[in-house]
Amino acid sequence: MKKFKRRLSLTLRGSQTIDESLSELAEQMTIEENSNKDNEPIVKNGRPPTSHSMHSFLHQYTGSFKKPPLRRPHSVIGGSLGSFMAMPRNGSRLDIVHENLKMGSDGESDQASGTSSDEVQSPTGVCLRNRIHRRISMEDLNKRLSLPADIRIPDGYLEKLQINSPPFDQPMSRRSRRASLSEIGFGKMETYIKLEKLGEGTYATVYKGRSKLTENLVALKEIRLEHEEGAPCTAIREVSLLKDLKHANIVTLHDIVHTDKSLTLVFEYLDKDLKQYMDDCGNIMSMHNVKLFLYQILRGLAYCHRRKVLHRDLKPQNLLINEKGELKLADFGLARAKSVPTKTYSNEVVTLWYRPPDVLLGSSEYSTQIDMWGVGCIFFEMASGRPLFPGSTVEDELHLIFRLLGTPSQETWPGVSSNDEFKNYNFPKYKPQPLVNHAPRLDSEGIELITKFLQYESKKRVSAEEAMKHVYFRSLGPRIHALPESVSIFSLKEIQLQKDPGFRNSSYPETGHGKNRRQSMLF
Amino acid sequence: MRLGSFKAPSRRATLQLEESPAASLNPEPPSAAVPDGVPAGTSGSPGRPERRPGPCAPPGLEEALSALGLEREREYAGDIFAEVMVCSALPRRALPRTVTPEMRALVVDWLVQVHEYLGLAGDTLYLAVHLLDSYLRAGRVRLRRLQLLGVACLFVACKVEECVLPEPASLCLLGAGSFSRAELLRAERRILSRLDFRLHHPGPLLCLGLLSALARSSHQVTLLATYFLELSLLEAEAAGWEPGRRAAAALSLAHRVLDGAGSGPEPALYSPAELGPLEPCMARAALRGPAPGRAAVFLKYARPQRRGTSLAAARLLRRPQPAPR
Repeated sequence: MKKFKRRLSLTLRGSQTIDESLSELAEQMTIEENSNKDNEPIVKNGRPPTSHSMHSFLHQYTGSFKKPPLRRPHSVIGGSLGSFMAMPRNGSRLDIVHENLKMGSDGESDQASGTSSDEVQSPTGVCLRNRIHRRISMEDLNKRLSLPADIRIPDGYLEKLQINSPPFDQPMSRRSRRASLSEIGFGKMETYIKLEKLGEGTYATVYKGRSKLTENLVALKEIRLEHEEGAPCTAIREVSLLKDLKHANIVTLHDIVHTDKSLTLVFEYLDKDLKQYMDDCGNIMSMHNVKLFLYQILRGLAYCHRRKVLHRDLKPQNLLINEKGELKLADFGLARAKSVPTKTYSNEVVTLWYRPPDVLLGSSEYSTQIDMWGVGCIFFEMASGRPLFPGSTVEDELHLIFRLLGTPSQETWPGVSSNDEFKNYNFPKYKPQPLVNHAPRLDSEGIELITKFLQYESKKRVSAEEAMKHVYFRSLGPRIHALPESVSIFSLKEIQLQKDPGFRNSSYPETGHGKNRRQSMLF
Repeated sequence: MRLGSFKAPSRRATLQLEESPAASLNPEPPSAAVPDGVPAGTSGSPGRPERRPGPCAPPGLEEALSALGLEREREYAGDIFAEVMVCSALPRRALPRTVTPEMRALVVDWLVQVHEYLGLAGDTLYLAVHLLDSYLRAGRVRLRRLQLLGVACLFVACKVEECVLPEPASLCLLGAGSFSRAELLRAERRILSRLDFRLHHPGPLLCLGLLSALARSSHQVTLLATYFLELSLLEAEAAGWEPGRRAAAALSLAHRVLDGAGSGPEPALYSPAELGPLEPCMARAALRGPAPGRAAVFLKYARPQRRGTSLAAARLLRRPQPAPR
């Protein structure tokens, strides 16, 4: 094992990304396992690995030895339960009276990442291998099988069991993997060096940092923990969603450091957000790059929407871009998995400028289309160099929208005339204006696509999935549609970032942006 | 063996899986190396390469989604169906030695009461019990911490599902002072760490909604199925069943109990043989009535707001009928 660790630390010293290191780590594990397999007398039978749990083995054995039932009869347990857990049935007073019923040699797992208890508990872990002999005693067996204490296990049973212990050729369980990662330094704050503060929000501070393991830059989002409420909902939702979202156009969550006082999310580092990117090129982007960025927004969003995840807070500050031009969606603090649609969400979610009119008018219905309006606004902003509807209040925002797209009527937006808020505002009847006047650099295909995003009726808005197939993107070639999820569009040689016409050549001024750098990942 | 227990549907041709079930359940398909970005053909048809393999949308799915208020999601109907219905179960591993199925049932029963008392959403309860089961599968727990663990799971589930969070203080109050707020928050941290923040779980309630909308089940049948499904929360083994399979079993049992044998909907995705082992378990629980330590669900569904469903279920199940297979 020592040798193995040394090898690990060697492989981790390079400048690889964590992912690469991890896959190598997995390989090393397999090698290690294979070599172990040769030295130990393990009978491997041909069943699939998932059936090799300790428990199923014990079951099989007890079956073949014609043991008494594994579980004591219900009545006995019910009786003993009653003696230490008293529960009133009326539901008005809910309590359980406990006594300390610590059983046998059971440890406890109060420590958040106590590696020892992990190893003991998960018989699939590699590290358990040489402990198995110590673990299985007659007493343990009885307890594990819930057998009465006086039951006699036939001679030779234990020996046989040990010989036939499940071969540990399964992939490391998540638990033991996490445990071993803790040993290396994942999940620990000491592993990361804070370099500079990128921004500060109401509940989080974002730092640029460096991982000592990989020497890679990281973004550290440090969330202060309220002593009243524990981990904030937004953080819990963001992390649990990001655990499920693995995509080339979604920011990667590398690690989580959870202590009493703070919860730090370790993200991959990207140089800037779309807002800064547009600032840096004097708000004159190459139209080719606009297309590439829009495509990547849609690609990341389509992936989320297919998995029932709404972002709900799309804005240029939440779209991160690296020097290759790879764009990634970030800040999923307001996103959530749609589960039951009947729930109403707070109205105050999407930043005003990118908020769709149905939400502005009080609709609490959230479907994937609420993200699509914002995409249209961002598309326009990239193409024209200025925000489309920079309203300061809800009324101002609606006013700006209607002045450009025309005040909606029952014909253009069925149902709007019965909306009380709409009636109360009593907007003048504006006529729709041609969008091309406001974004002259956008070609006709682009204008057609942006119109599909900016539909009043949410169900008429084009979905991310459909928008990617729009003729506007035809110039990017056919192969871009067939890329696997985890592969960047820049892996295709025909896809390349162009020089933005307005880009001021001086290498990124480090100090010029001061405190306002990187608003993203904050809320 | 959770992969093996899922079989390709046999009744309806339209429900055939696009790929083998094993592939569709594999959470992280190995991402093949892509030389110069040439697609490696790891996934579906060209044009929609990023679609995860899964069951095709059955006919009427869009209408069913509309019934659930998801009509805007037609574009993604198939994906949502796949995600919800093919969610895999927890591995069938035993509870830690300290926790017997009866003790687990006691805690779940208490959680049902707390959940009802606080007026929380249905999904929250299923998520809380899922988190509890995941936690118990991942390691051990001291018995006297079991109630604290249960309520902390409910607290975390609220943070994921609910718009308004219950006060930690009120949860402590409901625990009759057997744990403090500091202990509750420490337990939360332990849960997040042990589960590695993997809290996302579609849950069987949405499956049931989808299936009953697909089968055009009456309100009465759906309510009865909801009762059966909630009863299954008390069974430790139920965590080893896929949410979709649990929902299908509850619905099929409800149809048979109310409309007589053979009247249920044609099972989508699951064959009667696959539902077989689940139904008696639910029927048994419904017949048991308000047994000590597991009465909360029965009492909850005996209330007029739920039309005395549990009482009716016990009556109907006692009626002579072809034994549930």
